[in-house]
Amino acid sequence: MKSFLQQYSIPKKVGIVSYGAYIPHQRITSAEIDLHQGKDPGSTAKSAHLISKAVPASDEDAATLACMSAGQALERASISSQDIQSLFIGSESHPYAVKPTGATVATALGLSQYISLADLEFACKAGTQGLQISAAYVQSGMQIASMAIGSDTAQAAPGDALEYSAAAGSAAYILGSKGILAELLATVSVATDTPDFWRLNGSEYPSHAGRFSGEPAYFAHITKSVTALLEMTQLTAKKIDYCVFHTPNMKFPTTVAKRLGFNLEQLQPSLLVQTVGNTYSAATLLALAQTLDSVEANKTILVASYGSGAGSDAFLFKTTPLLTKRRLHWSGLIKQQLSKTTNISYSEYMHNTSGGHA
Amino acid sequence: MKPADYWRQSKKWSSYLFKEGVVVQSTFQYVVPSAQEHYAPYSFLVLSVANETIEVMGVPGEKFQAGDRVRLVLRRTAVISTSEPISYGLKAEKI
Amino acid sequence: MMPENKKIHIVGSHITQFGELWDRSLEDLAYEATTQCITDADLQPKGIDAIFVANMTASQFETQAHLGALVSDFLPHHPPSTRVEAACASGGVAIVQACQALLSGLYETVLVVGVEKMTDGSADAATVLSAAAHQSAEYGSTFPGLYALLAQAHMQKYKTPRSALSMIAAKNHGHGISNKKAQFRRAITPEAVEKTMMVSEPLRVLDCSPISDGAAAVILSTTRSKMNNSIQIIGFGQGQDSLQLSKRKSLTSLQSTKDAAQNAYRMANQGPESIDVAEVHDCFSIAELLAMEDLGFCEPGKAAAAVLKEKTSVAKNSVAFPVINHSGGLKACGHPVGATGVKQVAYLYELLSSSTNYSTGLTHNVGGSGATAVVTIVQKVNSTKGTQQ
Repeated sequence: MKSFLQQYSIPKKVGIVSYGAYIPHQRITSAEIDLHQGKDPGSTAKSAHLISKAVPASDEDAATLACMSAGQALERASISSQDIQSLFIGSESHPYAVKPTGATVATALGLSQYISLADLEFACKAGTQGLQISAAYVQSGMQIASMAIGSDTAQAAPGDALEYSAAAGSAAYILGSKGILAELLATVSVATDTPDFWRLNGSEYPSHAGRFSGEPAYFAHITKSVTALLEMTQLTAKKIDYCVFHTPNMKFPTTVAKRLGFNLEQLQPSLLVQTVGNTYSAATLLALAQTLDSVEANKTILVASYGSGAGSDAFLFKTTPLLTKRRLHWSGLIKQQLSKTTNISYSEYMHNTSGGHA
Repeated sequence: MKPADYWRQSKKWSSYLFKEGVVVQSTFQYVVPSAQEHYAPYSFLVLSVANETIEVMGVPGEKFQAGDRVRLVLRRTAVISTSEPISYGLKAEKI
Repeated sequence: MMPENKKIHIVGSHITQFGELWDRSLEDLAYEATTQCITDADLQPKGIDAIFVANMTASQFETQAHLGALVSDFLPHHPPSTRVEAACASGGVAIVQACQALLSGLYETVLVVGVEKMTDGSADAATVLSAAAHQSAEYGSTFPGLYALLAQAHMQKYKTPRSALSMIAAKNHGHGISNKKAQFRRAITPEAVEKTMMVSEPLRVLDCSPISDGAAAVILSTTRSKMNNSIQIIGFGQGQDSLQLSKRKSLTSLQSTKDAAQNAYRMANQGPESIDVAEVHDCFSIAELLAMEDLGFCEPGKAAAAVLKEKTSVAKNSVAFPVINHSGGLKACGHPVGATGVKQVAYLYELLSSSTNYSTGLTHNVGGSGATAVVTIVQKVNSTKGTQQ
């Protein structure tokens, strides 16, 4: 395994040169969902620590959310939008089965028409897979800069447990080799055929295998990718400053962090699932963004996503002084976005997520 | 929106996306065209943006007054019809 | 100026019932208006040299285009016939086209028919009517929404009270009671207007004219006239402005109305003070308020005060103002879009013919949110004495 992992090297400097986040401001509380599922209002907040989740407006979708986070990333970037030579959008709710979300977003943003582009799907890890692909395009020397976006308006069947967490959000990352805010030091991915959660073509809502999505799925794959990353980098959890894990709920990331040797202080800056919910392809990227919004320079961050079906992308980043310097001038940090929310009713939530068909 | 119409409109998005402006006049529409029913009620606005005066829909449910500062964002503009591409366009949201 | 040697006489008219006419098709309505108008004029069909047909929505609602041919077919000799479309000003523009044809000398007697059948497609009427706006620049707007923006602007600039709009709606419904052809013949109070559902702030349901079916026709002639008391079109004007509101110079007045009125008054050698009775385009209550100012019946910002004192009503009419919308206007009489501009001329012809209270009338017909406007001035002239009655 040692020699195989050694091939995952990063010969050229590459890292995050800008990033943006967008979380819709409307919320439905888990207490409101409790009422509609015939449970005691407040019981799910107590048991699963899920207080609310972000709900898109009735005219928002994965494409429009992607524009918002990408727009913030471009506003903060020191590179020209014309230097972005590829765009990968990962989502479980791409508006079309055939016609790429990336094309709509690239056009709206006014990116160059000379662009490599395709949509990605790998459940909740499609966004981070895009991040890895973007990094590869840049560090190969093939492109100046590349953008990866995770964006979802996730759906869950009324009455299902997932109804409490399936949420909407988007995060965008620009990878480049100059003006790096967080350098990519190492990355590795794992994938196996594990049917823990799926949605067939034509189905409106996904199906899941209940508790099977725990140990054989989430925990197995994150453990595998993180163990490999630590092996590659010859590091231990104690030697890393922060960690970010995929957040389908509160319990899974806190449990896997502990198992891998991380403590809650290392995980805390990334947690927003309690009030925002699971934003699927955006989840790990938003958790990383919230971490980057607050940590100091020269700090290492281990990131491990999880996508059902199943797989995990692991990364090791190190922040630079440029991040803390640039951040001083930014508006719209995640903390600020989370401070302006509006609670809506269950019927408004159903209306907003019903898709607006003729 | 017909495919060719969508294509012509989409070329204009990038010149207006995220531009900021000021509301000249606004009305909150409760009765709306059938293609926009999913977004009702919404405002219809006359906006001053850059050196132009334009008319746009507001994001669903938001009320505006003359003088409000707004920003243009990309949103869906009509309900989905299987015979046409998804309609997107610029709408105003309060800053 | 109107040439000395040509006078445009109105020699016949017919207005059908306006309303939800489920048993009448577009063709039925056009046929009734055509044939009854010819009978009213005491003419033979072959006396009609040409026809102008006003209509906005037939190709969408009824999938019937080629209306010129359809109406020409009602007359055995198939006179040349042209469909005219200018949204809600279709009728007014058809009248202007007819007048121009007569003044050119090419024709001596022409028929103008305005017809609209809207209730068959009433589920999507709002969408079809929004075709009068700019499709891409005003996407997502509604007709009431555009007029609501004008109302907001006027209320902001002049502190025009909401009650003035309610008063206009109530007045016109009151007038409609006496009009047998009106769609609504029931009084409403201003308070009742303000309790109806909001359509687009600040306009409520009863601020808006209805969806209607109906037709109207007039026959205009330069050679024939009724003995004594000839009713003539002594002036007309057509004004234009940008299709979209955002390109207009003002949101508190319609320049197209001002231009049309100025041209009509100049041609007629009259001013707003000589108008006794006016049929104006009250597609929404605010539209009548704007018309009062744009037609010169009062200064900008002052219409509300006159309205609140009921100075334009039949009952409390003040000599300083004309009676406005004696027929009930679009609000109560109904607004079959293409028919309205023709109905206004027909109605004034019938009113001036039968009443001694009025001798000079004005019609005002607007297309869309004010991109087109037509004004005509109609006067009762004693043909033996050659002077105004």
